[in-house]
Amino acid sequence: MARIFANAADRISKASPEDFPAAGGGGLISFWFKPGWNSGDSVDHNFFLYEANTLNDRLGFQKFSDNNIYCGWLKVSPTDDDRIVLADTGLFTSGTWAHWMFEWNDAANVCTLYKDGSQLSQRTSALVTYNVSSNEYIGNTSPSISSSSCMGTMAEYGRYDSNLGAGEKASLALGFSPALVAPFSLVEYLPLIGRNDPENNLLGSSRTVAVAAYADHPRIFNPIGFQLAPASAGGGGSPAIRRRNQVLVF
Amino acid sequence: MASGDTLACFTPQHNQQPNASGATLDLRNNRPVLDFDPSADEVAVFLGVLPRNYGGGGITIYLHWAATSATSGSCRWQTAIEALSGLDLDGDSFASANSAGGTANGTNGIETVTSIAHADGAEMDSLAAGGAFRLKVTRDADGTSGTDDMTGDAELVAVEIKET
Repeated sequence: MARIFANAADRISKASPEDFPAAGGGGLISFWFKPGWNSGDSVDHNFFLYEANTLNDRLGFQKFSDNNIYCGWLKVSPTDDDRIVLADTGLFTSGTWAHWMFEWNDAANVCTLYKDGSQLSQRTSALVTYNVSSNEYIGNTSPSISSSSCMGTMAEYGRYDSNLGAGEKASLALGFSPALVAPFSLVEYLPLIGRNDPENNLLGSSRTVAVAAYADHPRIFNPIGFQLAPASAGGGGSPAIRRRNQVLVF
Repeated sequence: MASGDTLACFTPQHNQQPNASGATLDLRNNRPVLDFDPSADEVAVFLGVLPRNYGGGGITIYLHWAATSATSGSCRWQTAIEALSGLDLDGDSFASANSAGGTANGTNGIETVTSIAHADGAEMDSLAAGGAFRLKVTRDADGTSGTDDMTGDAELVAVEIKET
């Protein structure tokens, strides 16, 4: 049961999200998205946003009203942005799941956008990343940005604190759970199953939920025996996945 | 439990991917498989508990695999056991690996089953009934323990542990 972000206020959020890679590091964000709209609709649609203390230093991903995709590091001065700008020529199809990944490496000065495991665009520049540990928004973005609307269904949101190998990225795009792919680098995993409030983060603190609706989940291959226990079922939600040396424990 | 009975089964989704040199999850006709590289040793690790009715004999590990593209050649496999009893989780302590080769089927989608025996005792890291353990499966792609001349990936589909 994936999350539907249908209204402007629908979002998953967290103040001071933990373990965000510091400047100089690298990371990767992976999620599944099924839009309720098609490319070329000339409407803002946002997917995630991480804010620094200075509002204009951000990491974000959106399909803007000019029908371009903007993904990457947004700075105080737009001329200094380290973001990918890509014309959205049919990349979104209403009612169709797709897998998206954004990967960055500050030291190597590169950020890359992937859809369904294939590289869409890459920016190589003097990449400067920020400590975006102030606020995390998934789905619709900051309440201060009222014009944006996600208008779609999202699932399996995973954030890594390092870059992944080509094979690992391919595994995510094939539908393997982030819990099965490079779990030693996974710092946030929100299955976005749809009924949990607060949203389970299987690797850290829960997220605040402002989403009313849910829908069918994409096909995901989970670890054997992996069953999410919503808080409503009693017991306070699923246990966190931990890794000790090379052994996964709950 | 008598000789010849199955003690445990593992599939690709049981794999606890190691920090480095891990086999890669893949799909073949919607079946999860673990891809093992032909040019560098790669590893999969499975966690289990030896059943209480284990009879105390040796075990045989059956690796069910197919080639991604090859229709000939030998693929070299290694298996090693680590008993968790008395072991600090912060360290690794796999017993020495045993190995065997298997020949790719003439149709690359048809499985080959390669068996590797471990005698009770040191080869099983002194694992006893009721004990938690890890099984490490390695494709010995660089041929340290024997010939591996199969081209392309080997796709591990399932693992069975049987009492010998």
